[in-house]
Amino acid sequence: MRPRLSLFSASVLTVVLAYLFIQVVIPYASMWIADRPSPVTVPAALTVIYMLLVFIGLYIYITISEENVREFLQPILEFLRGGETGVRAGLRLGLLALVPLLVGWITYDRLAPKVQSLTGIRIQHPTIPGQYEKLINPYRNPTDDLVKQFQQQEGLDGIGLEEARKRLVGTALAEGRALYQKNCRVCHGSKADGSGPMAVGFRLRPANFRDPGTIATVVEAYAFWRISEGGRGLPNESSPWDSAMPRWKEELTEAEIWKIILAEYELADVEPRKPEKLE
Amino acid sequence: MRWACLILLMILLTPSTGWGQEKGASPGGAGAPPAAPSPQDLQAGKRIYQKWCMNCHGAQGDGAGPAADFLRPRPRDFRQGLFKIRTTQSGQLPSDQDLFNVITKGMPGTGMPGWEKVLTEAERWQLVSYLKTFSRRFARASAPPEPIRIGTQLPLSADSAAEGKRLFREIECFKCHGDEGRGDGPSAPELTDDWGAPIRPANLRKPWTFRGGHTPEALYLRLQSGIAGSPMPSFADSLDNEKTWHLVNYVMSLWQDSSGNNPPLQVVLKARRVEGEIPAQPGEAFWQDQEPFYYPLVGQVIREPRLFVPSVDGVQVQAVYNDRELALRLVWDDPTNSKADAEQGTFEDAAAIEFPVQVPPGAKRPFFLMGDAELAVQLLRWGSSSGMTELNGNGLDKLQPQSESSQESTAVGEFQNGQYQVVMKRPLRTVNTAQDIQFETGRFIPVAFFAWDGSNGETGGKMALTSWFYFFIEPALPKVTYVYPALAVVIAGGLQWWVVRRLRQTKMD
Ligand code: HEC
Ligand code: HEC
Ligand code: HEC
Repeated sequence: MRPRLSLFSASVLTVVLAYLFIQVVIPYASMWIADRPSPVTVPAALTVIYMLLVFIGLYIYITISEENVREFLQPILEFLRGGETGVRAGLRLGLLALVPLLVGWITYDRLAPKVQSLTGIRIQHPTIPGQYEKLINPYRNPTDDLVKQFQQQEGLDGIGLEEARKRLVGTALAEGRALYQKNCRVCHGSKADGSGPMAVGFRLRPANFRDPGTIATVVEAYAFWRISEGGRGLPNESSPWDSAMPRWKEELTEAEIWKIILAEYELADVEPRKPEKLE
Repeated sequence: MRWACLILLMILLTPSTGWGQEKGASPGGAGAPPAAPSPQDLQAGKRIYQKWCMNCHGAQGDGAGPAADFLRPRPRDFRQGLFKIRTTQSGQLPSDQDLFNVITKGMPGTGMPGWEKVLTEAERWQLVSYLKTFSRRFARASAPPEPIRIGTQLPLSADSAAEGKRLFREIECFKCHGDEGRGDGPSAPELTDDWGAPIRPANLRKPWTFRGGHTPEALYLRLQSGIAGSPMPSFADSLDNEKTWHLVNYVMSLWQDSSGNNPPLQVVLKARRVEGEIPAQPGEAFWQDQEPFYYPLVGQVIREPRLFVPSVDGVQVQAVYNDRELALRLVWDDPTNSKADAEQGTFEDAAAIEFPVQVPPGAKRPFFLMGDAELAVQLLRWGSSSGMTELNGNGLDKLQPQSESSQESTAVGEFQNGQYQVVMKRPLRTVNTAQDIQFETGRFIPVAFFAWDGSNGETGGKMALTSWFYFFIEPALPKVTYVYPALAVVIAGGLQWWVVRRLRQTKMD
């Protein structure tokens, strides 16, 4: 028969496991469920409540019978009543000295002026404004009209429609890459990894497009909105006052922005999210 | 079961860097260069070049891609076959491995990034082969370039550094790099590179900006090979192995942190309370004892007029306060002491600290770039010509000095050997509460920093900056903070002693 865990050890184990569950399992589970880039920590107040529930549960369980109480207390009493010499005595002395010091430290911690927590919650991807929602990138799968227009402009009547479409996309991509290196490189980096030379000065770092949590999770229309309106276009829950992202609609044409988007996804080696089917 | 737990624990505790490391741990990634590139290699190299390099280095390798005008130093023109970061002797071509390494690591302090994370080793070798087609020097070379032999290293010691310091004067490094190495030597302003662009001598106290890295070997190689295309010559003729190491050791002795890495950024700038008068002179020994905080500055590239190549790349800040006033000491490197002169069209050097006028109760605050229409900021600004000014801003183009009567800040600034040191003071509380921030202890106050280098054409919106960080004025600790915990220890100890004694006695019975 397997030896049963003593009630005292079982109680301690329960408390430790409950704490780990709250501090580790819940944050990672929430990250996975809510699709966040980093674990979501449980607020301190909530942790206290959860732990309190664990303690109450344990208390009820232990005090349910006289016998349980005795079993629970036994190892404690044994430890405190142990002999005057030996390892156990030393251990007891150490533990007994530790308790008052701990109380003192907690008191100090309570009194000392608190440095408030600086981690505000920032919504990285707020809802896209309605007027941008339905836009699609004309250069990703150009319409026949756009291709024919391109053919006329470039004098490419001799080649087939499909060949012209490929060339149009190729030209748009090349232009987009150049516009990206000219305008976006300083912050988002030549490699689209958010490490441009100016990135270090901004506490809200320029987005790393290679990170699966940035442009890979949004549709192209969303990127178009963010590039057009910049940091100032963000709602308050996304801290527009901290965002260095410029408002590009004042300096770039819509066509240029779409070309940059094409290049931005290509350089970052990620795909945009597919828009939901339009009814 | 125990074993399983132990193994799990070991896996969890193993630093992630140790796992899944790329093959080839030697510097820059090993792998022999391909003996002779195949046409396919060149074709692949060209394709990669057109995707990643062309927009800086130009389709023809002439260094004139569309982004080139935003970079200083400009992207390399590959047609002359001049390369800065070499292990080969003065005047010679780089080895293939040199090119591979510089592509892998990039060139710190320039627009040239390292490509290790984005391009595979094979792709980087293909680029090496392709780059060599831009200059005929490579095809013409009859023999491979001769490497520099690095002799026995002299370890860094005070004696060696002192000898290096003597050599630094003797062979006139200071003429370019300045007396204290901040790149402010007398010949510095006139230097141009081989392509006719102005170039600055390195600030030897900022090794994280060295183009070829800052290991002792890298410095040794730069001194022996020179930096081709730049005015920095090879010193192979005047420096033997020993002297070279003395100079390397002297350069390394100038660094604040022996690792040579840039100072860590701290999010919260703390002001400590001091009793009595705060010294107004920035050179006072008092300031050596105050904790320094470092903030990297970057160019203002958010709105026109933009600054793509800022001169000041960081500022060190110290803050203290007493019962009346707040004092902030700013230290930053700037190679020249420029003055405002309307006739000559030159601008002054300056630095500023920004606060919101109203300390926000919630998260909402003014836009970090000089505020916005809704919320105003206050600037404490010191200029090399204009001295101290308090300004208010509601946007980059809506920045106004306060009226004469409301100017309550003072400052003392000094310039020496390529460095500014400024102490600014302001009363904690002022009369003009509508325009002035009222400093309170124990709160997080948004703070941002700006710097202008007049000789770099920086004025108005053309400046170096940070976004919001935090400023925290540490409250003085009241006495009870120490008394109560002591009392708690005594009471808890006594109580515990009584309980345990009772317990042990009941056992005896
Ligand atoms: C001055 C620096 C700066 C420049 C220049 C800049 N950005 Fe940004 N960008 C930022 C910062 C900082 C953020 C993160 C804060 C935010 O979301 O507003 C950001 C965010 C973004 C985002 C949102 C990503 C996401 O997943 O939330 C997109 C898209 C973007 N930038 C595209 C661009 C493009 C395209 C350009 C060039 C036309 C550009 N940026 C130029 C600083 C910059
Ligand atoms: C954002 C612009 C930019 C991009 C993109 C870029 N470079 Fe550079 N590169 C530079 C600059 C600027 C320099 C010159 C730095 C200097 O002279 O101090 C440079 C220098 C070089 C050098 C000369 C090194 C030496 O020892 O002198 C090589 C080789 C080079 N780049 C290769 C590449 C390759 C290969 C790519 C593409 C994978 C690339 N660069 C992409 C900006 C860029
Ligand atoms: C004629 C002017 C001149 C002289 C003399 C000179 N340097 Fe330089 N040095 C420069 C310039 C310019 C650079 C920057 C090169 C660049 O950015 O490409 C530089 C760069 C450096 C660097 C940085 C290397 C890197 O990887 O970026 C070191 C270290 C250095 N010099 C040390 C010295 C020492 C030591 C001496 C004296 C033995 C010396 N220099 C003499 C002009 C000079």
